[in-house]
Amino acid sequence: MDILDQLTTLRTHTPGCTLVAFSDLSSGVVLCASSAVKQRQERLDSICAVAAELLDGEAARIASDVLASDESSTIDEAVTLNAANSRIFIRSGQEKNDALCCVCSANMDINGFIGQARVTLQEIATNQ
Amino acid sequence: MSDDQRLRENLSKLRALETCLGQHRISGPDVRSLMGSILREIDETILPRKVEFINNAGGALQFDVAGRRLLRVSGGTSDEGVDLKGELIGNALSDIDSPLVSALFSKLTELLSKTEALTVISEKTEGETDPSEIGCSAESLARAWGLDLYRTAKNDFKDVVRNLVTACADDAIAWIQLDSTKTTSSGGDPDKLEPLTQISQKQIAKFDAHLMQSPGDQATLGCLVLGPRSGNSPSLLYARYDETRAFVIITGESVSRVLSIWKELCSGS
Repeated sequence: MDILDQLTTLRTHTPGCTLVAFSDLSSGVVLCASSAVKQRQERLDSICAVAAELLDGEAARIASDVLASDESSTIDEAVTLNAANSRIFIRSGQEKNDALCCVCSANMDINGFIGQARVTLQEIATNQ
Repeated sequence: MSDDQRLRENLSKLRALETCLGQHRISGPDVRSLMGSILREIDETILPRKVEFINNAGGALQFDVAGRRLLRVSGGTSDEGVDLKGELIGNALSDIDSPLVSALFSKLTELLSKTEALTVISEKTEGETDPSEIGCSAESLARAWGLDLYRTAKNDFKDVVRNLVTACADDAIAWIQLDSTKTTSSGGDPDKLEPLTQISQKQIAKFDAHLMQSPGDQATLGCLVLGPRSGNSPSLLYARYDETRAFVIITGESVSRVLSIWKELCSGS
């Protein structure tokens, strides 16, 4: 199964999920995306930029400083919820620059989805 | 006054009255309240009609509505009088999870962000409606956008941040609650309160920016959670409604529960 198939499986098995994009945080590039409808490149670039900011940027640094304990903490998961949707960003446990950027409905099961997304990231890392 | 003049005046008055019959004004204190009013207009429209919403600056959106469902956004103009273009305009709505619905939310937010009243013009649509066009019901749009169709949003959400902080008190390591930029309550680990205060004084704009759908949005209701991999390590939660905000450090295992509480509070259930 290639990466697109894995992303599509994750998306179609999650009611209300409209976009799953596999991104490289260091370059800010969406490497592969599965979407219910065709997405414009600017939208993909924009969501990847948000992922980079929340997981590796200034927002991540601020959160990391506040949360810091003895062990150095990186931000690996970010969730934004507003009236229109949920956006979920998850860093790969294997490749620190790889992340999934997902757009889902506002009322989805976030915890269950994050678990599934982690499995997908692990499968992608294993197959790479 | 001649009979001819009298007849002209009466005809003019009748024309004005005819225009008023298809027009009315709706108002509300904020974007969400106006958005709820727009959805109620859709919900009350049974026969096919073209309904236009115009803000005080002249910006407008035109909807094709039938059977209490929004079929499509048929046109619109920006506040500067420029015709709107893009995928949203003219394309049929059907899937509530479609990006068109998110795009409509953004466009409505833009239209409503600088106005407290709208002129609504409703006209009959000529011809038959294509039965294959199912559109989106007002109720499903309200659900997707976290609005309650039958309540006033302002009253529903005014305490949402305070209620969240109260509800997750047992899971909070430290919290700070703000009205505008003034701290209204705080608690928990004193060592964590200082950094939370620092963020609230200097970094709020950065966090607000991530609650927006797109640049220019006036997103005033939302929350953001940042943390390490799910587990036992704490996460940082930021929640906002209007000028009420809170930063909360929550335990790792409670993230899911706290997000569920937020969603329940926002859905009004």
